[in-house]
Amino acid sequence: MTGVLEARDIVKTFAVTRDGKTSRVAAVNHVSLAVEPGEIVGLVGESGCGKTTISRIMIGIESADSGTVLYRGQPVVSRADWRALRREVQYVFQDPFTALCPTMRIGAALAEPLIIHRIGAPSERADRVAKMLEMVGLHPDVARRLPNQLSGGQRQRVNLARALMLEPRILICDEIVSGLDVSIQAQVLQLLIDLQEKLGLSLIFISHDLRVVRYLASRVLVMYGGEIVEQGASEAVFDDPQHAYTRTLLAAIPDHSRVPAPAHNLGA
Amino acid sequence: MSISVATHPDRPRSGPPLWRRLHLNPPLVAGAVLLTVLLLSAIAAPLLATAGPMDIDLRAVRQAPSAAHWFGTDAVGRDLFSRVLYGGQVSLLVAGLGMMGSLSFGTLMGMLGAFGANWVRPIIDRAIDIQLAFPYVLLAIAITSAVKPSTPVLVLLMVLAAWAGAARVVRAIALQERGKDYVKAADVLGVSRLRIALLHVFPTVLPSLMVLAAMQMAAMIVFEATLSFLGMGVQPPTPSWGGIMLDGKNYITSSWWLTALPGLAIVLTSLSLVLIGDGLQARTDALRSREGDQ
Repeated sequence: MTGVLEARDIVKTFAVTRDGKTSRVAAVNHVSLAVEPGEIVGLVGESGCGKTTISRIMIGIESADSGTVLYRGQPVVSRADWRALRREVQYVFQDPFTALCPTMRIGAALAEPLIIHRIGAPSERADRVAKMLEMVGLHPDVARRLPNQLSGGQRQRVNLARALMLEPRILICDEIVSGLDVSIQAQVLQLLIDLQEKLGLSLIFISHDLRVVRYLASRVLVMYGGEIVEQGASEAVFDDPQHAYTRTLLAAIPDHSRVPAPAHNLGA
Repeated sequence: MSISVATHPDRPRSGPPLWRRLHLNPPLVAGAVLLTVLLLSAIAAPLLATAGPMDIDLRAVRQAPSAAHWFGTDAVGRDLFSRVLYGGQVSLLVAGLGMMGSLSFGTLMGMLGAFGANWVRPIIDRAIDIQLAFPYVLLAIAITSAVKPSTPVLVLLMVLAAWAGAARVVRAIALQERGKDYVKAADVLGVSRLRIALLHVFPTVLPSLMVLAAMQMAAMIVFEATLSFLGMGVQPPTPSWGGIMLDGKNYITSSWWLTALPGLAIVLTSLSLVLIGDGLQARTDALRSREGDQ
């Protein structure tokens, strides 16, 4: 299987020192995953299972011990390769409170990617920022504010807007709704679905919340202990889980009957 | 499907009055008032002084404080009140220059220590360690034995002695900030390391830098006094607080005012600056913790 963005056989270990002895713990153990154009891939698993690590490796924030990241079938190796990848792949961080520079106004933070990549005339950048803020459901006046004047949900939208400023083809979202209130969660998820349809984005959506993933993703990968233990179409995995861990996960959902129907069945 | 989930936030409010937005606290106000009085009296020395700072009057030597000479007179009959006022001009100016110089150089080194190339950082780390381990008086003696002591040399000594403290603080904060997600987010968006350091991280260092500026200024006042007292600072007959104390040291048992009153000026200035530093620190902490609550 090949995709637009692909991680192939990634291994990442961290050194852990306990009682003076250093051992290496595999956070990601021979993991491969790929995302197709326009597809929403869900990556689920408990915290510490390596899902954040693999996603960070795919955007180059962390480096793999072995394995390759491929973009459009080409291995991403040099700094220039990563720069090219990041022009089209963007990343939204888990914690909306630390992912924005506290001293930079929202408008400046959103305009910055345009300035760096010399996109658009300086005069039209403010306009683009306002449009993007509206697209993620924020008032254009937010541009004049500082991050600490916004709520968590608003900040997460700003982060999303900032990642979208470069009009990426693929967006990696790391637990972006887990810190939000349930009502705001629903809004952000709806927003992601709308954006995906409108812009034809591919999404890698990472979450420990199965309901959220089921709502959003057409394909699901289940990670456990640094390995992918099960993957397949969303319905297949949720309706007929093969791996014991997936079954435990599903059984842990408080009320299984109230799991919302998958969104992609509603759409078309 | 349209994006109808939009919830428009309130428009920015006009907010509370200015004095409340400044988040003042008692030490900060007390220190600022005291420092303002001291600065104004130094600036207005020509208006306030009752005599020229270098006017010798051999008929009135070592007179105790009186209505004619508020701070008394020194061994050659110069009016001590006037000398302390004019000395304040020199001491505050020199300390201010030393503070700004050491802070600028220290900040540059600290930022390089956090954001410099991989081979630059250990060099700066070691330079900071060496500088902090080196007694500044020894450094001053070494340099003034090679170069004739003068006011510019004194300022240079201050920069050399104090940059490492500033560099260490700036480096520590910048390194901490560098590990945060917003730096990684900027990196992913293609923002250069220089731009991240200058536009993203440096502004977050600024509040701590203001605290440091106050503390450093207090240290520089004492540093100037120390070196001038040891004869390595401002050269006579130009009055500076340390120099005036040096003049008075031989009469410390008989004419207490010659050392105690310029000493008081030094103590009050340092006190005001330490109060400002503490106040700024408390203010920064309060603003930070409130930010975290949200």
